[in-house]
Amino acid sequence: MLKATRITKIFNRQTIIDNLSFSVETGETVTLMAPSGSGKTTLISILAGIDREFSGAVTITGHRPGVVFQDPGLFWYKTVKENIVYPLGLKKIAWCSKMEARYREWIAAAGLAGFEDHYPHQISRGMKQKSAIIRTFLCNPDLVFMDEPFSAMDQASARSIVDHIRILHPHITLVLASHSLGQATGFSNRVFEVTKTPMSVFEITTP
Amino acid sequence: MTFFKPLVSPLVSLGIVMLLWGVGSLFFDPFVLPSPLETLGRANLLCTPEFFEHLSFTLGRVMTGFVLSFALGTLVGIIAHVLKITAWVEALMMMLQVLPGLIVGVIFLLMVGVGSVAPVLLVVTMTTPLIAINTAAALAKADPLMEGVIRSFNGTRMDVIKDLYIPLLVPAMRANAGMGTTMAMKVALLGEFIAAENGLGFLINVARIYFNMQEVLFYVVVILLFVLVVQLVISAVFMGCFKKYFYPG
Repeated sequence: MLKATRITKIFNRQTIIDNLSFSVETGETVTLMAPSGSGKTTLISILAGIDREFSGAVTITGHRPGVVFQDPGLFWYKTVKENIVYPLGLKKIAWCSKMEARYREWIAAAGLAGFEDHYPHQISRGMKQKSAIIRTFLCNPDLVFMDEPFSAMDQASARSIVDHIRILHPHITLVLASHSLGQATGFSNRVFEVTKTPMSVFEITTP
Repeated sequence: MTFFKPLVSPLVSLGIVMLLWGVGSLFFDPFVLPSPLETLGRANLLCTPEFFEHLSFTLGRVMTGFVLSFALGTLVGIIAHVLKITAWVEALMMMLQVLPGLIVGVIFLLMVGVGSVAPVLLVVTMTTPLIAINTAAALAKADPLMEGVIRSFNGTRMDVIKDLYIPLLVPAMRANAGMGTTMAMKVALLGEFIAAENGLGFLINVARIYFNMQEVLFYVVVILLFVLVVQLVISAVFMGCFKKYFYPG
């Protein structure tokens, strides 16, 4: 479970997020729908524990949060495969046959087979986003924050990725940030509309 | 074929310089601008054991000065980035860069006398700012998002340095090595010109007193060849071992 309580973020004397509270239950997929420039990336960074300069509290039940950033954030000097397996080394997760099988399954589902030895500048933006998604999910997280994860993908590719997440990680909790109502209602159990600066949030629908 | 590829542009550049020199020599008296053929024709007379001794002094000063500048400039660039004072350090380094080498060389001559110390100090003073500015600029390119990515996977400060900052520094170090050695050679020659009793700069100074332009230009060719060889070695090392760290294009 994720619980955000009275989060306030002030940057350059401007209130970006004002007293924001909401909660997400385990296994839910929740979308924070917000227009560009509203501060949803800041909110995701706060929720994921990357940005610690805010007031309020974020409580996460579970031990394996992961983040998929809006920009894929791949290392330019690593191949697709090296980028995908990069966190395993940091998290000291051993490369075993089970991991290899999961990796192969993800690569096939994302249509990245044959591109594993390519460098990021040699693949499309959509492929980069898919690589970033696999990189996060290969670590077997139980809660994932995804910031505009499908912005460079068509609806079918995005649907395929979400379906694959649901198959491989049936009990995962997903928090998506998106500006697309179609994606928000299509992939989520609940949708929160996030208003522009200063940010506040309210639930608009339960698809 | 790949091995010879880096040789093409420097050799073509050398060819263009020689061609321009040759064309220029047609319009002047050999006493003013001797032709490349005349100059290189005297190479066997000028390549004496004394010449190689002078050359070794110069190369020693260039390499010592360059290594010190490289270490100091890289350190200053890193400290400037870490302490977030890049703008201040850049302004200071710019000021140092503008200082006329001739004046600084005379000051070092008066401070430490004739010998190797003054040219090396001059190289360090004139080359370090260039390397520091370049290093700080490379580190400034670090994408905060990449740091966020590493942190999101439980990466430590060391992981950020190893996986983000060091790879960013590799192209800067290659540029610093190329520009730094060229600058070090030019400044070391100036230092020897002012404050040494040996080295190529000293030989050029003696030759120009007697208006012996063939000898002066021969030393210039030697310097050009040295710089070319160093550039090729640097290129071979970096492109051979660290090619993947260079941004595409």
